[in-house]
Parts: sequence; structure tokens; C-alpha cells
Amino acid sequence: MKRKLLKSDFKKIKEYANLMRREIIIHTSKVGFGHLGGSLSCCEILALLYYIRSKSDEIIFSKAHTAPALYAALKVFKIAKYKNPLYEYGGRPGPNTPINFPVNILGVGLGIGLGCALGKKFKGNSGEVFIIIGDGECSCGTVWESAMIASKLELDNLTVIVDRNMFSEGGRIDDLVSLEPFAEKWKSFGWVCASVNGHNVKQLFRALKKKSSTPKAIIANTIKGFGVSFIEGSNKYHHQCLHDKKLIKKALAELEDKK
Amino acid sequence: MNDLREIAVKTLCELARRYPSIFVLTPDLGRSTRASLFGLEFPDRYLEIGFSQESSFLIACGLSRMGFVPFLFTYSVFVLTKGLNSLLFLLSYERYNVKVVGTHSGCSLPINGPADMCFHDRTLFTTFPNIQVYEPSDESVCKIVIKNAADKKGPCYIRLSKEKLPKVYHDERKICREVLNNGFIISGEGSVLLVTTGAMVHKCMEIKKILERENINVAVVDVVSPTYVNVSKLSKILERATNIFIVADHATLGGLSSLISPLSQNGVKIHNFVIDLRRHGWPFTTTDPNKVMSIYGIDTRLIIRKIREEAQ
Repeated sequence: MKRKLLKSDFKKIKEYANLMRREIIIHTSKVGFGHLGGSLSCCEILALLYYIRSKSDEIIFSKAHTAPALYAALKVFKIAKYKNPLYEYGGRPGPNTPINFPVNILGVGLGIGLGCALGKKFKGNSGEVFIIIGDGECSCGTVWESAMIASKLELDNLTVIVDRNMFSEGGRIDDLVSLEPFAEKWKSFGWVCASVNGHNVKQLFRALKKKSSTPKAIIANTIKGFGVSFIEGSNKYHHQCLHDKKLIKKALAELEDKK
Repeated sequence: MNDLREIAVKTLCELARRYPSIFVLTPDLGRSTRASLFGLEFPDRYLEIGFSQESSFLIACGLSRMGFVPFLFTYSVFVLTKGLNSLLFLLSYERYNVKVVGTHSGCSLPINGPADMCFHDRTLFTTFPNIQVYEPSDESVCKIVIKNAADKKGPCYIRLSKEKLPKVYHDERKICREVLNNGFIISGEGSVLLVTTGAMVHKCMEIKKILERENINVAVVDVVSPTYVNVSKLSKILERATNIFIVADHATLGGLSSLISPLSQNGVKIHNFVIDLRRHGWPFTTTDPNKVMSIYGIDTRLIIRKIREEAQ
């Protein structure tokens, strides 16, 4: 991964994230489905990772339901060409998605990333493995199984970025089954953990480039639906998209203003 | 008598000497699945994590996309219960190239009670798209199946019994050709067909021998891979039969019966000697697998008696 970024790079990454949000709104509205809130919250994370990654790095997108964000990143970074990704690749990344590690259920990305990081170690390959997981899927047992194994195997090439947007389908995660103290949980599993603002690219990058001898977890505190004022911070658009043409126009106009 | 688990691991060791991509992992079951034998020879390509059954499938998926051919060894019952998530969503839909080896399938561990027996695995996994299911019946078939699984790209499930099984086939070239071309092996000729698989094959061969002495000709069809069966060839064989006996250690629905019944001609009698799942969970008064099998409804003497009746 790139270890140095200039001011202009940060500006570009923000622009990419903004472009991704446009893509997400357009494509989810076109087909009439898609998890809008969670897709909008992880744009900076995806844009940064695709911007700084090298050829030997792997990005695994575990929060499968917010696939529109991944598809948008693939288009913005010119990895994929599509007309209608949610039909071509599926509502969740299917085998046709032009990525190495398609994941279509929650709670499995970390385990797969662990295998990938292990494979790199065994082969003596350089390069890192970045896994984006949602905070809702952290209630899955497999996440913590894998967390335990990764620290035992001392996989220093593994980084998990948690999109901590505080909501899952059922409502506020901390009202359902609280993850707190979240950072302490990762630390107690033998991971290095940092908590940052997930929409601040500089903070995210600073946490990413820190070297450690153990696997790394970055809790990216984000806002669900970030970028569009009437979606932000609400769970209404968890698995809904914008149907009303006026709302779509308004959302796109807001994103245009942020350019 | 051969332990198919050992044969499978030794075959993998042979392959691993030539192919650096072969990798073996197991969730804390190295000794009972015999996977640890691989670890002794190739410690750098062997991984034994704790009893994280579900995660072991995910790690195998990750390794498979890094250029390895991972063989995951665990009990069949854990493949069914803990691995189902990965088998359906990742191996079947996303086609991660993972080879799953389920040991202790069927009735092979009665001493631990019904919880460690597995009758539904083959039934269920044959319905998953993209997954090849194999059930070797003896040493030579096991070797062919493991080699074929390592060679061919794509996920597969190999169902192994814990019981030691005698050598059934002697002409390795012939059976290799039959397994790879047809997905089944046929032995003998006759209007009575014994359609069977896995650990039941040697029992059917015994039945065949006994009946041959009484001039009753029986053919045994060993369905090694239900997902790979050459349907037109199998239909031709079934056309000639007057009586079909299905002997398998899994249930009627979804098992061999579901494969054979639609292919059979009208008027052919089909007799099922398969696991009666209504009896699953009953307390046993014995730990002898053969006796437990007869409790479940598969009794060699009963099959012989029925064939004699039909032959008259």
C-alpha cells in the first residue's frame, strides 16, 4: 500500500467517495432495491483502500448487503464496467463480480481474509489484506473465532476496518446486543485497535499505515447514510432506496454541492 | 481391511510431493480424521486450528483463492451442521475451490450415539449446485477420488466411513475409467440390481457371492459420485433389471432412491434398504455398527431373503 499521501491525494479520495455516493443512489433507485444507509457510510473507507492499495494487496468486502458501495468503488476506480451492477453481479457480490473474494453473507469475510493472509505468509508474498466488516455482523460468532485465530497466528498483514455506523436492521446495535467496550474487545483478543472518524480520510490513513506485529483493527466511526442530509443518522433507509424522483434529485443536488 | 481415512491422507501426501499447492487443514480433529499424518510430512502446509469448525471452512476459502488446493478434514456431521453456511453460500454459489473431506459418515461411530452419525450429508449436498459429491467404497476408489478432486477445479465433498473396509476392486485401471467416465462402477450381470454406495458396497458384494452359489445372478452398481453420474448409461443398465434393491446408509428421500426411481422403467420393483430415520435417536443396546445398521433397517440377511423370494 502507498505509505505517503499528499494533500491533493486526500482531496481526490474525497471526490471519489462523493462520486461513489452518486453511483449508489442512481443504481439503487434504478432497480428499486439496495441497502442505502450502510452503503453510504463506508464510501471513504472503500475509496481510501482502493486508492492506496498496491497490486499485491487484497480488499475483502465482508458487509455483503451494502454491495452497491463496492460496485461503485469498482466503477470509480475503473476495475469494472457495468450498466446495472445489482442485476449483473447480484444484490450481494456473486461469482461474476470482478473481485478475488466475493462474499454474499455476513460474518464470513474475516475468516476468508484470515485464510488469504495466511496464504500470503505461506507463499512468502508481500502485500496486505484489508477486510471491511460492518458493526452489525460483529455479533456473529465466526468474527470472534477468526479474531482469536488471527492473533494466535500473528498475522501482521491483516487489517480489519469496522464500519461502525451504529445500526443494523433491528435498530441501534447497542440497544440490541451491545458491542461495547468494542475497542477493548479487539485488544483482549490480541489485536491492535484504533478508533477513528470513518469519514475523515486523514485519520483513517494514519491508522492504516501504522505498523504492528499483530493483526490490526480500526473502528471507523461513521454515520449511516452519510452525505445526504435526510438519510443521515436514520435507520429508515437500512434496506430501502430512494423511489421518489424529487428525493433522488435532492440527494444528487446535495452531493453536487459537496464537490 | 483398509482405513479409507489413512488412504486418503497418504494419497494426499503422494500428491503433495509433486504439487506444492496441496494444503490440509482441520479444526482440532487431526488425529481422528488422520489428517495429522499429512502434518508430520508437510508441517508447513498443514494447519490445525482449535475447534473453530465454521472458521476452518472460511480459512480454506481464503487459501483457495491464494493458489492453494485446500483439503479440509472434519467429521461429516460437522460439515453438515457447522459447514452448511459455507458450503451453500461460498463453495456452491461463489465456487471457492475447497475440497471437504467428511469422515465418520453413516453409522460409523455408534459408541458416541446418534449425535456423531451422519445420514443427511450426501442427501443434502447432492442438491447443491457446483459441488461434486464422492463416496469411495474401497482403497482404489478412494485414491482415484482424491486424485480427481485435487486435479479438478471446483468444490467437492468426499464422504468417508470410519469403518475399515475390505478391498473390493482389483482392476484399478478399469474402475478408474468407469469412475471418471460414468460416476459409477458396475460388477456382474443379472436381472437383479443392487444399487449401493460407500461402506455398503462390500456388503452387497458379499450378498452377490452368496447368491451366485445358488445360481441367482446379481449385478452391483456402486454409485461413487451421484452428481457425476452418466444418466444415459445408468438408465440403460436399469432398463434390463426386473428388481432393484437400493442399499445405502442414508434416507430414501434425496438419497440413491431419488436418483434411481425416476430412471427406472414402469413395472420394475424397487426395494429400499436405507436408513429409517424414524429410528434415529433411539437408544442402542449395542455398539456394533452392523447391529446398529440392522436396527436402522439395513440387514444383510433380510436383503438376501427378499432377493430369494423375488427370484422364485
